Amino acid sequence: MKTMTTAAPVITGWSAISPFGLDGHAFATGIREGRRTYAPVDHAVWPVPDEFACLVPGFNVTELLGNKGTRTMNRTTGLAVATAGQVLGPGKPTARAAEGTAFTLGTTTGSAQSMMDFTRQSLVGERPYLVEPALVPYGVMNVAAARCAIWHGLKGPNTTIATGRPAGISALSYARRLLATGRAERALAGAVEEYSVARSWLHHHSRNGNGGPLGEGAAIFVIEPASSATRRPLATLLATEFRTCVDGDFGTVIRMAIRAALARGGVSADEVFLASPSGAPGPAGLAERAALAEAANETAISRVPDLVELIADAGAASAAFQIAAVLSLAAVLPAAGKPALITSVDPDGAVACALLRLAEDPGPAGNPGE
Amino acid sequence: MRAGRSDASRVVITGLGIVSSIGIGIPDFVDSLRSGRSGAKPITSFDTTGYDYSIGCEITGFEPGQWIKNVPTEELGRTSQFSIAAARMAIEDAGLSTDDLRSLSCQISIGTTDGESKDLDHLTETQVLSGWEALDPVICSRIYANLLSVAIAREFGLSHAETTTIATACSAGNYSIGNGFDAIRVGDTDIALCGGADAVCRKTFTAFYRLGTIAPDCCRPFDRDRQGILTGEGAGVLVLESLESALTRGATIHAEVLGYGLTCDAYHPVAPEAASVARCMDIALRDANVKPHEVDLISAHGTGTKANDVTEVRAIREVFGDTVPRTISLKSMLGHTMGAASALSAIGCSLAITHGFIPPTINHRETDPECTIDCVPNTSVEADLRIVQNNGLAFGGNNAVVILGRYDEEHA
Amino acid sequence: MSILAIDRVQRVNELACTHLELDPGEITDTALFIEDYGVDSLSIIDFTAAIEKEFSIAISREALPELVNLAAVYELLANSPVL
Repeated sequence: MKTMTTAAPVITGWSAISPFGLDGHAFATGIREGRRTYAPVDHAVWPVPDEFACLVPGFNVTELLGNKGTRTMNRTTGLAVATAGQVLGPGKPTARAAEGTAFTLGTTTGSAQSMMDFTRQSLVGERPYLVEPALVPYGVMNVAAARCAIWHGLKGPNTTIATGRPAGISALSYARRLLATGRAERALAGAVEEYSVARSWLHHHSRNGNGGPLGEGAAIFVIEPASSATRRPLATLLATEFRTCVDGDFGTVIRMAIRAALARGGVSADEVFLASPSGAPGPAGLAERAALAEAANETAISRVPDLVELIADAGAASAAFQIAAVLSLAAVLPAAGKPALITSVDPDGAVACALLRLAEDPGPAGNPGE
Repeated sequence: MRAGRSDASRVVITGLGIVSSIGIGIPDFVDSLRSGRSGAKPITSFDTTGYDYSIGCEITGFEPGQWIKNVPTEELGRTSQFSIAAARMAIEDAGLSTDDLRSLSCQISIGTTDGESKDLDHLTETQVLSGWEALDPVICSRIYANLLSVAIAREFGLSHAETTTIATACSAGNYSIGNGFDAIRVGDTDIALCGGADAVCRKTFTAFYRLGTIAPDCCRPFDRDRQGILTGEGAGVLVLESLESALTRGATIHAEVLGYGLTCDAYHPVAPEAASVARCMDIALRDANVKPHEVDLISAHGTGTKANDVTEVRAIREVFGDTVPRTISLKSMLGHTMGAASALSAIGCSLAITHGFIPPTINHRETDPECTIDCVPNTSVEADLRIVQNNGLAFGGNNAVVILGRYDEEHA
Repeated sequence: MSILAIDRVQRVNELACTHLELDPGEITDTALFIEDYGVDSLSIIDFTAAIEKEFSIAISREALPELVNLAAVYELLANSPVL
């Protein structure tokens, strides 16, 4: 058994593809400007009940990734592969780096669109098995993470975690554990969610029409042990805490999670400099906002724009976007050495909280993660 | 062999819960494993008109009300129902009351391939017949994959719980066990409820059928005439805790989790790659501080497809050289239960250790010379097992191997 | 042995380029899909599925491994009864 360490790991890079634009620079700029990305949905392209949505502008898989291997690649996979590529930079990893790099990707339920398209072919085809073989891999939830591994040559632990809105925090926590147990030397961890006709309708019906507008995108972070970091740290991941709301009272479990995270990180409520609630729809989100204000402080929340106001409900990517937002702001605020708190709730019950300490030297403004 | 690990950092299995086509609960399951029972029968849970053959390993006679007391069953898809049932059995087997559990921190991690794809298939049917407006809101509300794990928290009122549905397809059960193992050892959690669950669905059957990997009659791992898998369903849940915790509360220990390994082929979307599979086994054995020759039994991924069995045996030979142990496939009996597969086979390994027998690879007529292995054909044998390896290989090259060991009180 | 009509040869080539992700200039009749072009087995199944659909034939499981290059596909088609 390798030596275990409980030292807090560091985030040393990130990128995002979002309604703000096709890379991390666009994301950081959009956050700092507080730009709303809502636009009317073109119902000729998207036959959905939504009037507005926040889509990644001009997103096209083949344009971003080229012609090879992308003919049937779905939107989720394209977002993940492209974002991972931005984080990794050009060139293939060495054999050692390939095996030592873990990849952890958060999702809600993979691509419901791909799954339903596949089943639909079976239902309407001349024979029920006359489905397109190339679509088979896209019917499972782990295809995006697997494709990222194939595309970028990553042979370390490869994991797909389906926790919905908090998935970005789940992925970081899981990756943290891989580092702590010596199973990887570094990890890429993040989350992805696509906009699709299927997602939109499922969301509409499951929330009885009260789900609110949808966004999409991917954000992926590089996380490394502090002692062996190969790039300049942007933040230390002090703590992650998880709870489950089992009785409708989200406020209580969120407060518990926040307090536990603060205690583990040795941070007081007043010290928190940046705080981001997830803005989940309905009573869960309202309870979350109130709990964060109480267990941290209102000023910290006011320094971070309301992400739902800017990019709508990004599903599994939402917590990852919140973390990226905090890092984007840290570079242009007097945040050096200060704590940041991110919370997330999923209406099904999962609750998560991440506590970061922003680096003393977060880097030049406008250059996320580089 | 266990020198250097304190009781607090050793992880043991204290509870097992089983929902399977060859038995629900430990006694039925053990009995079936001993007698080499098959779960195969014609598929009835979706319309199989138009397929040339459609045998699977469905579970008949599962009564949700028997296991689910608190969460309304219409809020749960079949897979979540299986998860709760298996969790309830495991918790009871572990001798933990609900109050006990509520006072501890829990990691609830159910692995899956398809989540609630059975429900998603039904929604697709509705959409085809009546359009998107007509989708049933009740079904739409229960298709999100994390519900497999959240449902357990809700059923037992566990708020101090991290829920993590791991969606790494057919190796997800092993991933989940490994996640629980690590979470306990680094102090993230007191108790881990880990395992896997899946339900038969048209989508998955059709996918394997399209690739030419569904067997027309039965699953024959390592056999010269093997034709592929039978799709199956079920759930397996294990209770993991530190040895210290188990001893303190006087729990019965089934087996010890010695270590595990994860690798990614980064090679092909569905076909496995021998070198990466071998590396995964190597990593698991080193993690467990076990030498290959010390392994008494391998529970293979053993799907019974042409490609898997050849690749897996090649990898086993690479790692084990002259000391290849007996290597069985429980999928011969259970079919391929997808996300539940490596959880159910880990449970099978644990029971094999404590009951002292090796379950057989059934339906075996003639071993394929291209994947020669002693697969304990057709009849179980008594065996003194100390170390057992459980393989899980998945689409996308998501490999996970878990090593289990007998827990001997005298030699602790 | 029958020879495949020229328009069908062309169509097979088009489908190969699409499903195997090869450029029209790249592909020859005798080069092997897997060994020479690095095409993965899933893409080959996808390509043969498209052939089945386009030409209304059924390719048996046993015949699949023999389809190692375009020449083999032409031969199969030339000798296949239309469904």
